[in-house]
Amino acid sequence: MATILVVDDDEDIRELVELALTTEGHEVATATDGARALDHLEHQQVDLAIVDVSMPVLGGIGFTASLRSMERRSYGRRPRTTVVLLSALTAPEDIDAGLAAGADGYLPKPFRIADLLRVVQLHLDRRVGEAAGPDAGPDADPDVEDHEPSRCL
Amino acid sequence: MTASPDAPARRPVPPVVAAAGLLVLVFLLAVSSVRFAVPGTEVAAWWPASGVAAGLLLLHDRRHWPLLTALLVPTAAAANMLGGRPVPLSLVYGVVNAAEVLVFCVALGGLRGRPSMMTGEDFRRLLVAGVTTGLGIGVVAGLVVAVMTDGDPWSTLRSVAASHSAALLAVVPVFLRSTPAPGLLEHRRVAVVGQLLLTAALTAVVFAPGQVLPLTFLVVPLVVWGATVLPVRWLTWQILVISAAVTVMTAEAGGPFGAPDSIDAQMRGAMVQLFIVTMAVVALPLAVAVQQRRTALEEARAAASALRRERELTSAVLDSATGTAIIGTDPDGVITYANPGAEGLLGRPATTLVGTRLTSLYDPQALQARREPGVSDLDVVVHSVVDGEPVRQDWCWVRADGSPVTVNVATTVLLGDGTGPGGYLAVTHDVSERRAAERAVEAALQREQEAVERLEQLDREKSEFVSSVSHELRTPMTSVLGFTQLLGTGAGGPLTERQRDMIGRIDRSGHRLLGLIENILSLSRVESTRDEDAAEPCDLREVVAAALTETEALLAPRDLTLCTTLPDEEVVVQGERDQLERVVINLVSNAVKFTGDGGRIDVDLTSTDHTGTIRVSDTGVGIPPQEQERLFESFFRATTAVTSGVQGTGLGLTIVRSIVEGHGGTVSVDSQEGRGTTFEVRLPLS
Repeated sequence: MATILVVDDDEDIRELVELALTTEGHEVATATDGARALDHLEHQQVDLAIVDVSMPVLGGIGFTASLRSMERRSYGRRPRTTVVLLSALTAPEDIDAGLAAGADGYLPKPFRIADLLRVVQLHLDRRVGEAAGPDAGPDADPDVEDHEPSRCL
Repeated sequence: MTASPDAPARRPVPPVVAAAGLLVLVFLLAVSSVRFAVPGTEVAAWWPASGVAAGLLLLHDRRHWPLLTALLVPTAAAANMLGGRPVPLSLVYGVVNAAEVLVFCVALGGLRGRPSMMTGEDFRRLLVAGVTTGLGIGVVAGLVVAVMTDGDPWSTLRSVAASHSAALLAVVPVFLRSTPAPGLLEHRRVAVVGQLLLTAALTAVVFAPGQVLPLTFLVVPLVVWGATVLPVRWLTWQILVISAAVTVMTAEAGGPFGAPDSIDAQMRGAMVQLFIVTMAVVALPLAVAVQQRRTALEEARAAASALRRERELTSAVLDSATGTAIIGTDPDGVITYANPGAEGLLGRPATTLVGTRLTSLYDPQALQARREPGVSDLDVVVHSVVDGEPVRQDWCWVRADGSPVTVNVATTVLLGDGTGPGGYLAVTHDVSERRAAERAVEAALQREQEAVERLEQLDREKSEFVSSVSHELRTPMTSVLGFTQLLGTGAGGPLTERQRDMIGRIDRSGHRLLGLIENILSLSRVESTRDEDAAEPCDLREVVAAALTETEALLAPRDLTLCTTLPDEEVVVQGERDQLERVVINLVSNAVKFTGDGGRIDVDLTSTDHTGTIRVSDTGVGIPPQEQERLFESFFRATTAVTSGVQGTGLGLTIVRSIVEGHGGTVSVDSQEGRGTTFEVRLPLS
């Protein structure tokens, strides 16, 4: 099971995602905006961050860009955190902006719980595959190409 | 005369016949001249044959002159022989006569075309040619006589020169072109008839045997009178006839010139010749001069008449232009003319306008506004025309009652005597109503423009509002659907069957509401972002393939046959790929929704030179004909769709049409209820 950070200013969404993930057995931490999420990551590593795009203080895209910047400056001391953005903005340009900022996936709201869990599992499996090295290739989900971010799965 | 252009109505005699006739005439005249020679003289009193021979040449084209001249030689020779002259002498005379005629015709200018008798110059040329030719043949005849006979060469020279000169002067004018004088006889019938009768009678009387010499001078004034009343051609004929008569009468009966007791034989011929020459020389130039003056008078009269008609026309035009004010001024701008249109425009009679200044018609304030230092008011008013083309200008004039009137004035400079303008002409229209109408139209256009802008603004605001609302709706929908699903999975505790059923209903209704929100958002995006920048070349084959991938999930749980036909060549349109995919997705998902299991769906892509066509056909429930028109309206759902229990928002086809039309294409439907439906999307190729 994995440690997952859920970031959303809407309490209902936060609890929905948390409930869905904890039911699956994941360990969940939450934050109400991008700045707090970054603070959290300073102290505690997570396997995956599910982040809303439209938030006060620091939105999902700003959060992702900052996180990626921090990771680059650490020169490998920080492992790369997988980020899946979550948003009611579903226009192609919005999705492109999120992926360009460095997100690994983009899940439009509203989403089916099943879809959420599938996306989460997909990215967690890929992390495992990457950590195990190239030899672990056959274990990875054959539907997912290595560095192609999943868009709206 | 037969070939004369003066009588075009007469049928022209063929040139050969005319030439033959004239040759015979030459022969007869020559014979009779020898025959009618004054008794006691060696040569004829005059020789009309040479005049007719000259006419023969002058009437014919100069190309035929050599032949005609050659024919004249035997003619004249034969006449001389018949007159009793020896053969060698006759032959020499024949050659000399023919040569004389040729020389005369050349001297008269016959090589340049048929000479005329219309001006004093024409007569002068005839006189010079006739006299010189006469003198020439006289000299030649004198030499011939001296060489071949024992006659007196000097007297031969004198009589031949005189007789030939007289013959040429009296006969040749008949053959010359003269000014046609149509209608002359109608105006002067009495004078013409009187002159002809009187001259004929007097000639007969004074040249009758036993008359005294001085009476012969009475004929000359009559011929001079004839010169003033007869056409030139008639006069030439009269002179010819009188000459012939005098010759015959003198030779046959004696008469004043032939009285043997008073005049010797030598003098008789000279008298006849001088008489003929006098008539011709006095009357011909006078007749020509009279005719010239008459022609000039007629031309002047015609010109004056034309000028009068033109003036009347101008006056009529000016008077009838009641809708146009036409005002003429002198160079100082004082009005000299105003037409009825000006009276109507200004509300005052023309008599009160004439004498006032043109500038006094203008509104003083309007004049003040356009006044420039050092420029007179008149120049301000007319300055636009001084440099050339008149420029139409709007001005304000003041009517007699003091009311202003907006006028459009075009001022023209009248040509003067060269030192400056001869005056000005102001052509003016009342444009008050037209200008008012133009202002009204302008204002209406302005209002319309504002209304359009306001509508566009409203439209933008509406689209933004819809987009924002749709977006805001998604977040709570996420919670509603998400928690419902969690409840359904038992995350909130175990569920009874009844609870599970209720949760299922919430979930289905929630998704239906979500579909509605999705479609509204999609439609508002299509309507609000129709910019060309987002357009890119799209291969419709890829668009169709991508859309079918998206709809795979819909097809998977169904028992439907999907057949896709794509062409081998690419079908490229300019457009937004996502939107075009949306079109195909909506059509295919409709087909899936409204076609029962076991049915078939066909997706075809074809292309012509300019159009790409996507056809989506199904074997589903179909659409009633009366509802096909409303199919693309927002929120409209066909009754077959409602009764089949398939959920939908009534926006799918609205979105399709909106996108297709945004790409410059068209969409149409063909359906039979219970049999199936075909949608056809046509897009212009790039």
